[in-house]
Amino acid sequence: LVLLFVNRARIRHNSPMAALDDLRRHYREREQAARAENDSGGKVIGYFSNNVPVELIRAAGFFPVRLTGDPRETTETGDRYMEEFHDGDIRSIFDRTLRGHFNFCDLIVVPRTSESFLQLYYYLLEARHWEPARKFPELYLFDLLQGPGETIARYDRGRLRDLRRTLDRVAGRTMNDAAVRTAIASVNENRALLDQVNQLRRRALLSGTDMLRVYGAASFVATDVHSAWLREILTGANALHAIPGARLMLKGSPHEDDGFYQLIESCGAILVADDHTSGERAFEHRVANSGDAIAALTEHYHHHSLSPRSYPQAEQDRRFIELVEQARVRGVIFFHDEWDDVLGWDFPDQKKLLDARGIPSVFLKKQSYRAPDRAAQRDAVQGLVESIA
Amino acid sequence: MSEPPRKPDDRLASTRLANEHQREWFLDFRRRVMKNDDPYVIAGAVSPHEIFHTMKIPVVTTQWYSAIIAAKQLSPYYFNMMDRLGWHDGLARYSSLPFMTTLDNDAERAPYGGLPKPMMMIDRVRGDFGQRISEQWARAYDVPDFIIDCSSSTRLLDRWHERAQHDWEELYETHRLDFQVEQLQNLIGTAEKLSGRTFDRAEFAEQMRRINEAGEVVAAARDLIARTRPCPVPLTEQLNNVMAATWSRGSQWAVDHLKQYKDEVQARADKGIGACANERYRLLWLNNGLWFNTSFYRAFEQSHGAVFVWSMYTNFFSDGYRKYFSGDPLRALAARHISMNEQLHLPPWMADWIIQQARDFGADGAVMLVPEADRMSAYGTRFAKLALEKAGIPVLELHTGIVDARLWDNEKMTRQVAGFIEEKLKPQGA
Repeated sequence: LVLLFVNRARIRHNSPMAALDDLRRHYREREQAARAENDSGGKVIGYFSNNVPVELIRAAGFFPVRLTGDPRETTETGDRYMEEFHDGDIRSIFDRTLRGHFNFCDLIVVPRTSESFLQLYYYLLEARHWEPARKFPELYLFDLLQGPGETIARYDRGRLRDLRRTLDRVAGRTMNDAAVRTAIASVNENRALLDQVNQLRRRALLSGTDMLRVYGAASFVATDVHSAWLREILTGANALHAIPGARLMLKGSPHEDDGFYQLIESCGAILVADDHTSGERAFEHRVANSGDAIAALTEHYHHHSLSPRSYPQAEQDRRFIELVEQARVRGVIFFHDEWDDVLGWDFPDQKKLLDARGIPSVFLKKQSYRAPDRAAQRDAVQGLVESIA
Repeated sequence: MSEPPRKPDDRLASTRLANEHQREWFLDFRRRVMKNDDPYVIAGAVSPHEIFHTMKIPVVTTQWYSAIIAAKQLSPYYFNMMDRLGWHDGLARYSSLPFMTTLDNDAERAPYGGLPKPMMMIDRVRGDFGQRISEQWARAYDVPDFIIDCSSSTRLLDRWHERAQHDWEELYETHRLDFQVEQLQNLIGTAEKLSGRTFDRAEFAEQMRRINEAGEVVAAARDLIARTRPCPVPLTEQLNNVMAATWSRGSQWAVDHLKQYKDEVQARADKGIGACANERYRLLWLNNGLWFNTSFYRAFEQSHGAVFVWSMYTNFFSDGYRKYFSGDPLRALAARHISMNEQLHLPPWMADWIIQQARDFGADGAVMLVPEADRMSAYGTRFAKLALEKAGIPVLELHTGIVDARLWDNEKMTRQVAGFIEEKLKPQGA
């Protein structure tokens, strides 16, 4: 099936819009390729966030797929155990896991790059005791730490090696370094292509909504297939037309759904940049492809894989302002999840940085995952757009 | 929030001494810092104070100072200021309240004159926001910020409270302990460089031994309270005595003080003196303390004969802090803090321990604080409630702040607890 996708990508696409259509479809039907892989006898490894080294999963011969929640689903099964103050995506993922939704995976890798995911891991471990009849995949805690310093780097190298051993066990064979190198090269190429496509967004030739989908789809389809579609877009970029609108940036909590992006861009704005863990910051760095592969992956995921635990915060804020200036952003929308207790600490300093540059912003805090107040969101965004105009 | 009528001599002498000790200790260290420029540090509760105690560098514990601010009814002022500065009300309160006193910079208002400029800030960051508070706080003082990162258990073995004192290598996982030891060595190097003092390993080993000795005294006091009816010492006094020793752990004062406390509890038990003469219900207080209103623990003694006999502060010193060692005491110190949060706030460890305490203390029910805006302390509460109820222990959840008095509705909370006692509990001997 993967070959079929590649062939379709090579044969059918002759315009960037056709490639975009396929990327949009895979962003929407995000488990389709992984389920097909599972149906055809392949092994699938599920993971959360952008902090899990997919290069190792690929090198081990598995199909990596990022697992997400779904705000349209209710969560009655998980609600028995999970308090109301867990993040909406975590509640949804917890419920889906208990219901067996992710049983097409042979293993689920949970990164320790946010307290929310760590709690999810422990809640799932405990839920097995309370619900022995419910079957869901084996879990692996990837204890990646992201503070500065060599002590943490050494710890992370140990965790990468442990993940490698675990993948070998599940695969029933030992991955070789050449396979890791090949996977690193493939993912690097994909990230470089994403960067190039992101430049189209910078030039307002691609909407922020589509860029979110384009990047999101990278976690749901085979990398080679995804890269082929990106090349189609780049090859046909001359056919794209500039999108009018106020140049905005979205910052704060991650978005695993394009609803808010669409809303913003329906208000006379274009999202030319974003700064959150499911946006462009996720593909701005490459893994070094020389020397020890595990050391290179450690360096990348330790330092360059954005998460709520990336610190010092002052460095993150410097990068935020760089992006604002590079993208010639005219206004910033801060969007924080309903139960956020992390990013809110950064907001006053970040707002001061914008104020000093005369860049207006709007702060949407405590935003619901399942039932966002779209009217209030629209009012806020329109207010910002009008203030810029 | 009225305190039930009580004669001044009701309190144990050790309780008065504990309170005086804390106050005098703070004022003394503050004088020395202001006058002589002596070093001190501000550190999170779950961080290795022992390193600084060994170097005779005072440690102010963030959560202790937060509780003091709340007890002095100052938290509304500082939280209103926090709102004005742009930090919304969903952000952590317990660990951020002292930071607000620094930003306010008003020694007249802050408890005991406030916190002078420290040598450095230290926090061990289990959640995702501690490093943010610490970084901004250190910037406000213009001092170094030392973050101890937090590795995570890949598995939670059964009955941690029976393994934690001796079997900690297996319990906490070798790769995590290796990492924690390395972080402690880095901290020692930083502290030596900043203070110009030397970390005396022999003194450190002696302090670690004394902490185990102090923990044994706490365990003995706990056993005494658990088996004695009526409960010989109210929860408020258990807190004062054990926590004062916890913040001075490693000192001979802590050992001696706890012995006095235990002896006084024993004397009261021998005489049959109870916190509440008409004891009909024995309750557990689950989760963090209600620091702005500790008198609430005693609010149901006269009306219902209901006594809070246990909270995690009663004996976490004995079950969580004690780490016996035959080799490197630094590894034992690493084991002390490496999983504290998991023990207190994570299923199944949280419930396992509490159920054991409920049985030992003969508890009829439990009241559980589910902190608002401090969800790090609220995780695991639903699993804990389910586990306790499965074990036959009714649980009432109180949703409010740990230190934010603005969220407290005394009438409503009193009504909830009274209703719980009347409707869900059976009196002792019934």
